[in-house]
Amino acid sequence: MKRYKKNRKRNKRMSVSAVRTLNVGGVIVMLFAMVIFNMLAKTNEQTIQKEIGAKMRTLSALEEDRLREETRWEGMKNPGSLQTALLNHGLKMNTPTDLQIVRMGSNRMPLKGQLSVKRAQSSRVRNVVRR
Amino acid sequence: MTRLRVQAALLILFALYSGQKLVRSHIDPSVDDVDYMFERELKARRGSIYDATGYPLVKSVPIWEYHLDPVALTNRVVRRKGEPPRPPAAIVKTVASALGLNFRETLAKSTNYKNRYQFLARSTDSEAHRIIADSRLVAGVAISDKQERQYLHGTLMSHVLGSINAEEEASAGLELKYDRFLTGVPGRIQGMKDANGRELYDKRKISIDPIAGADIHLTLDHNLQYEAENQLKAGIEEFGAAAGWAIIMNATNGAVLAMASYPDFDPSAYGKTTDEQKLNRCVGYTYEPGSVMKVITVASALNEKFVRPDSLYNTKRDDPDYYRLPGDGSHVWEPYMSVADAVVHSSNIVVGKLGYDFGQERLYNYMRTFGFGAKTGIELPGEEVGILRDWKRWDKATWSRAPIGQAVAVTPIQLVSAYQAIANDGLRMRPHLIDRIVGPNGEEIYRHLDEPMGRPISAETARTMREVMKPVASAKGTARRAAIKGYSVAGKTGTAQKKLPGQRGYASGLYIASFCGIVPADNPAIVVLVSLDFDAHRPFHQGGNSSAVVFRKLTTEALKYLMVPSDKPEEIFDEDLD
Repeated sequence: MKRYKKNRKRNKRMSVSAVRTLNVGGVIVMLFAMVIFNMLAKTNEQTIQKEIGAKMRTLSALEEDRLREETRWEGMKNPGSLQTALLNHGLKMNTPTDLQIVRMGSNRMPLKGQLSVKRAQSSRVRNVVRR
Repeated sequence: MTRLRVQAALLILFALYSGQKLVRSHIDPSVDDVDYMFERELKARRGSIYDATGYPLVKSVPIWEYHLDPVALTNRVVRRKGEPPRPPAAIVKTVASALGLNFRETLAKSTNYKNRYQFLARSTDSEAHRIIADSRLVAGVAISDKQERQYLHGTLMSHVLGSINAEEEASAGLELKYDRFLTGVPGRIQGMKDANGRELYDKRKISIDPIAGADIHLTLDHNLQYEAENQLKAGIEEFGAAAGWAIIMNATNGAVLAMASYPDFDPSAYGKTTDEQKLNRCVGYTYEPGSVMKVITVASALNEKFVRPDSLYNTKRDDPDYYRLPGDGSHVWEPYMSVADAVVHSSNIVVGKLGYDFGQERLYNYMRTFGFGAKTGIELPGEEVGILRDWKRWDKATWSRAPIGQAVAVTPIQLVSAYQAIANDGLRMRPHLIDRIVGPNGEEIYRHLDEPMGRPISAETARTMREVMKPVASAKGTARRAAIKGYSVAGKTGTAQKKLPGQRGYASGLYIASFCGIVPADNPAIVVLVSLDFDAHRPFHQGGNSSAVVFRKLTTEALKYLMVPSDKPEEIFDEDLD
């Protein structure tokens, strides 16, 4: 009887310890796995963020380049610049003379004398500046 | 047993440590990195200004500003892989050629070790930036990102656009008046940087983008403005004037299509501009208008049916019924002259008498309803009120002189606005040069709605008045040089004597010559004012000889550009051509 009691006590203690060790070990493994998973996820996230950052910087730089180039062209297209550019090629920019304009009446037909041959011939004037 | 407990404790500690690491990495990753934190304001892009055709006039452009640090240039080793280190002179050569600078001057700067922040250049050249930013090629050059205000047409429209200084503070024109719209809302960045001071983009905590300023769209047309400024400058040169101004206004809604004032200035160099150049004479200059004011007197009297265009006045100057009439001996051969002819010949005596008879109170009230003595409300800073004293304070001299444009002072925009009322069948509209203001996302913040400012005269009187004014620009009028082939012109000349500050009376031989016209007279499209300011006696100082010529040239081009139908086509088409 005495031996039986002793054995029961030992068996009980041993079985309880085994269960506790198993629980703590599971938690630790789980935490370790979480840390590893988190580290991997974070590394991946950082890589993507860096890629996004680089692409955003490129986009911003290209946008600024576009703005600068657009402004440069707009500056070249103003009447003063065009006039100067044409003069460099021996040309002068003028508004058309009266005889170079075809005026339409309210009936959407050219007014009298608008499409005559003489008129067309006299309007054939080239604005060329001699250098 | 003890061994198990120790193991458990260690594992718990490990779990706690891992846990707190996890929590910190997600909730507050920067607790340990305060030294690497930074915060920076992001400047908002300033809004642009466009003309009526949508063409940009002013824009803010990102640029790079380069400064030289001679110490860093000498100390830092720069080399490409497999090549020997680059000497400072080679670096300076690279920098100078990229930025288009003088090599010797740049080299001299690179040896001035006392100044470690020497300005090199501002540039928009991205290729130059790529070269200088390459650390294997260049060292010792600091690059900072800036915004530069670019006035794409140089001096064109300078008085309207205004300027901003180097600190990006608005100084004049629309830049000043609409600064709160043009300036956007700055953004903010908070994040971390590495040991070299470079931002770690993946560690950015706060990133608020700036909101760009609103864009302003004007009623002015850059092509018409170019023509107005060119013709004005040519006229000033041809007739020897010191200054001048020209305004083209839409006859029906008061929109300003061109506004030129000379001398002008370069908005990019506002600091070097003189006060004389800064003055926008179209809104900020008051002067006695002279005979162009006679139109107002006659229109007022016609509107009250006080006289008719054919009512006759005697042209005797020494008439005892009138107080010291302003004299002009040019038509003493005509004993009587009609009111209409008084406008055509610009008779001081007849219009002076008419104004005297009409009465000072009525004349004053009409002048007020035509807009004189009050700001027009145009969207420009520095608009002057003019001088129009209350009629109760008029003496007899003022009474006889105000009808012919003396003893009152106006601004050019007031004068054009008054003529616009005559052109628009008596309805005066508020002069304006802003069409709309558009936000950065395309939303409309403001749109100008045509605003009537009163009806000083009836439609019938306005039409009669235009008929009366037509012969002015003909062989029998004072401004035959203002006649435009194919179009009828209703206008009036003015040759106002100038008064010098601090002196009594008028200065001898100094005049402001004007011509203000409505075209076409029967179906008005535009009102054009041209004035030349003479600071010395010149042979062609009269409005009909000088300003009328500039008016004709400018208006001819404007009518073509605006495709205004001719109301006298028979003048254009040569019969032989048919």
